[in-house]
Parts: sequence; C-alpha cells; structure tokens
Amino acid sequence: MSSLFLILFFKNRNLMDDPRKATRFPTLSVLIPAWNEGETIADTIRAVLDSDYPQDKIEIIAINDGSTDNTLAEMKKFGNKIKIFDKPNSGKADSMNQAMKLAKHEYLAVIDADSYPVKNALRDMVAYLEEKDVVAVTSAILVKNRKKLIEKMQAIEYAVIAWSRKLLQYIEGIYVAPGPLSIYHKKSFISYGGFDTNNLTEDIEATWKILSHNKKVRIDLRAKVYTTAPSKFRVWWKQRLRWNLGGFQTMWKYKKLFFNPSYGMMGLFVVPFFIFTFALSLLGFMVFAFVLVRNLTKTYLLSSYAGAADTGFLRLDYLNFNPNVFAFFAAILVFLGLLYLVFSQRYIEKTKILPRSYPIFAIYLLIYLTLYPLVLIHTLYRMISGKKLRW
Amino acid sequence: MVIENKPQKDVFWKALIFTAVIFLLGVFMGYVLEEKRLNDVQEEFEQLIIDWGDVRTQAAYYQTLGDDPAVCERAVDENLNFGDRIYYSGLRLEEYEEANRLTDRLQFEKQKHNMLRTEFYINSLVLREKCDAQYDVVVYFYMDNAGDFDLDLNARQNVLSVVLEDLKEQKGPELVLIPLAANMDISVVNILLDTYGVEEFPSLLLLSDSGYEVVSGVQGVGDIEPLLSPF
Repeated sequence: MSSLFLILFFKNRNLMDDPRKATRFPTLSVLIPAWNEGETIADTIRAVLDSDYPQDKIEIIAINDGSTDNTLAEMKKFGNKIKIFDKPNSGKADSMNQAMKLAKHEYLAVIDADSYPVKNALRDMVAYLEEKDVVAVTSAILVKNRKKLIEKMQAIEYAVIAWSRKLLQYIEGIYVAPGPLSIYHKKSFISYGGFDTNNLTEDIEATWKILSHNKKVRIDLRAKVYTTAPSKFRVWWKQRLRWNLGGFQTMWKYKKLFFNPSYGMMGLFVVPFFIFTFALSLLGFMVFAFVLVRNLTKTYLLSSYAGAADTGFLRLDYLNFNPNVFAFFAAILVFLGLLYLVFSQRYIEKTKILPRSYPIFAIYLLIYLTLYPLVLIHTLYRMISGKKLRW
Repeated sequence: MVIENKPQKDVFWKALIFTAVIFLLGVFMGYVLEEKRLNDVQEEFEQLIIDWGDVRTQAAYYQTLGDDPAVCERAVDENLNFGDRIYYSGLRLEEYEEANRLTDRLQFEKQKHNMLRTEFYINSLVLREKCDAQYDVVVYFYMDNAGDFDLDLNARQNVLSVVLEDLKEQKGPELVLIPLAANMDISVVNILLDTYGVEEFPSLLLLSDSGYEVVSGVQGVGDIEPLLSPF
C-alpha cells in the first residue's frame, strides 16, 4: 500500500492543489445534526453563516435530535437565519433522513455540530460536482484542538488521512465522505436510500452505497473543516470502536462486491482494501503479541534462573546489534511512515517540518499507531458479545 | 462544463513492481550481509586452524622430544590462549547465527567449531597430565538451537553461560572452559556423554585434580567453585 500511495503521489503531486472553480453555484441545504452539542453548535452554525457561498442559495437546517442539554436554546439564538428541526431522539442517520425530506435544495451539505468549515469550503467543493458522475464531495478534515498529546496525535493522523484520501481519489478509491463536511447530490442520494439507520458509521455506508451505483466521490483539499477531536483516551477509544464496528457492518453488507468487476473500483479496490487492511492489522497484531509474550516469558524465566544462580542476566555485551533482513524492512517501513507524515504535513497543513516535530512523529509512528490493532481486538470482542453502541 | 476523469489503474502494477524491487533489494542486502558474516567466520576459523596446528605441534613436540619444562609451560600457555580464542570465536558465531535469517550455512561452521573444541578438550587433558599443569577443565554440554522452541531450556542455558563466564573471569588460566554442543552428532562428543552418563542438558563435566563430577541444570558460581581444585 505504501508503494501505491507513493506512486500516486509522485504521479499527481502537481494536481493535488486542484485550483478548479465552480461555473455555477447550485442551491445547498446544509444539515447540521446535533445531539447534546450545546457547547459547539453555535460556532458551527456561525461558520456556515460566515461562508463565502452565496447566502441566498443556502438553507441551514439545524437538527436537534432530542438533546437533553442547551443545544436547542443555542439554535434558537440564530432566529430566522436557520431552520430548526426539533425531534425526539432517533439517531444521527435517521435524523438526517428525516431532515432530507424537509430540505428544498438541489444538494445536501452535511456538517457535524462540532465541526467548523473554513470560509471558502462550500464554494470550492461545489466545483467538483460538475465532474461527470460525481455524487458526493468531501473535505480535508483537520483537528481544531491540539494542546494535549492525544489531540496532537489525532492532528497528525487526520492530515495523513486527508492526504491519503486525496491520493485514493485518483483510483476512485475514496471510501468515506465523513460527517464533519460532505456534500451529496440530494436526488441521487435519496434514490439510493439515504443513510442506513442500522449502521454505526452511516457516512462510510453512504459512500459505499454511492460507489456501488458506479458513481464517484471527490475530495477538495482547499475545503478545510476543523473538527473537535476527542481529548480523553476513553472517548477516543469509544470513537474508534464505533468506526471499526461500523466498518465491519459495512463490509458485511457489501461483501458480495469483493473483487466483483461489475462494481468497478468499488469491487476491485475499495472492498478488498478494507478487508485486507483489517486482516493484515489483525495478523500483524497477532505476530506482535506472540513475540511480546515470548520475550516476556523468556525474560521471566531468565530472571528466575538468574536469581536461583545468584547472577545477573542483563548484560550489554548480550545485546545483538547485528542487522538482519527484517531490520532492513523495518527501516523501510519507518522511512515510508516518516515520508507520509512529512508529505501530509506539507500538503495538508501547509506547515514547515521543524525538528521539534520529530519526537511527536516518533510517538505517532511507534506508539499511537500500535493502538489501532488493540481497538480492533476490542471491536471483534464487541461483535461477538453483541453489545451495542450509540452515536 | 463536464469534466471526466478515469481511475489511474496503471499505478497498481507500478506499485507491484516497486514493492517487488524493494523486497528483492531487501533480500539481496540481507544475503550480502549474511555472506559477509559467513566469510568473516570462515576467515577466523581458518586462522584458528592455523593456530591449532601450532598448538598441537607444540604438544607433540613436548610429547616426543623430551621433558623440557620450558617447552611444556609454553605448550600449556599456548593451549590456554587458544582456548580463549576459540571460546570468544564461538560466542561471535552464536551472535551471527542469531542475526542470520536467510541462510543456515553458519550451522556448518558451528559443527566445525564444535569439532575443533572437542580436539582442544583432548589436548587440554593430555597437556594437563603430561605437564602436570595447574588447571581444571570444565566441559559445558548444551543443546544447540533447541532453545528456539524450548524457552525453559533456552533460559537455563543462557544463565549457565553467564555463570561460566563469571567463573572463567574469576579463575583465569586455572580454568579451561569448553562448551560442546551435545546434539551435533559428533562421535567423540557422544562417547563423552556415554562415558560420563550425561543425559540432561545443560550439564557440566568438571575435571579437577580429585577426579570428575557431572552436575546438571542451572548452577551458581558458588555451587561450582567447591567442586574445583583449590590452586
């Protein structure tokens, strides 16, 4: 996969900052679903109102999905600048499906209630809708809060994801138009069935639905949206668990498309890519766990016998610094990982890489990424145990 | 204006070729590295063989040409020096073998080392008797490679190696330490195992002034020391 991404990058690096402009501005219904988002909803609505998209072509529908906090009160402060759809709690996907029926305009822009699009986001994104067969356009999602270590890790991760997603566009491989900001062609999307109310990641499922109709999804890197990333490990874990469970649900639903050429790149790339990523992640974790358990057992036995013999077993001259073939491959992987980070920071965040960033990169590569398989294990456990999550 | 873009399917085979090139490059580099280590080991062994010829000739010279104590002393010293060299060469061989992943040609070199150590053992005994030399011989019988699957055996052998290294450091020329792999099917080693009734591994055969003793399992320096001669 690393080779694929690098080749895609070097082939398309001059196209990544695609300067295309819209020749017309279609009407947009902006849906902002919210459940207990009293702290952030006002800023999200304000970001849309501040957008440079022709305001006469936008309707904002703020959806209060049975919040128990001050979300509704915050929405009401905007008066008649927005429409409020206040309803009993039924989940994000169902809320959006219901709101779609109230939407009057040609396109639907979906924005999470804790995300803040930049001024030019909507104006730039609609340019992609002029491309043949494009039904959805997504944006570069970046992290707003970057103070804590876990937030910094996610900031790097989101930039890497945005960069990779742009590259996937060149092989019709964008597998998700995520909730923080995506635009859908309303008529087509409703005809495909809208959002799946049984799926935990309705955005992934919606994208797969579009792709399975041989339609296209695009990403505009100029359209940045800053979202609030989890600041606590527990919340982060729960979010990832939901993403993985939703991913599995989606894979299961579309399993028949696996290597099915009738569905184009969806069948030949997206579904296999998803399945192999999960499988390789699990396999990698199992190998890692085996080596770890083996070494821990070895250390325990060594320390026990060394104690019995009244000697030490940890000696510097026992460390083997002779490189082997695996060390070469590991070095290549770390190098590619670093390249990823550097390119994603340069192309997405548009920032210079300072030496002080490298320790953070190291933590990201060597610690943060190793958490992925652990979440995956938990996901499998949850799938087997059948416990449910809510949004 | 309607823009139409086709997916860039050519990148898949390009990525495949690129990955194959990286993989083959990695394997090639690994192979070159392992070959280099093998050459180092072979060169070192060649030198050991030359040194060994010298040591043996000195021993033979003493045995056939008389009782000159100076010759005897030199033969003992050379034998002890050779013992150190072959011991450290063996450690390096183990280290290289641990790092090698593509070829198992070092196994053959290990067999040659083991054979040489067996000859060294016999020479050490001969010189001790003929020259009345002041040293004990400790033969360390271990299972080669068995620890890859048996972690317990691996741990016991590692700890005993450390203990013996400490003991050797403490005793210096008073102790000749000879590690012998018991599972390399070398007939002299098999005869030794049968003669001294060694069945468990790791085991130590302690040859001191007062005779011989076989101890099995993990031992501390304090356990072994009383069984050796008080020089």
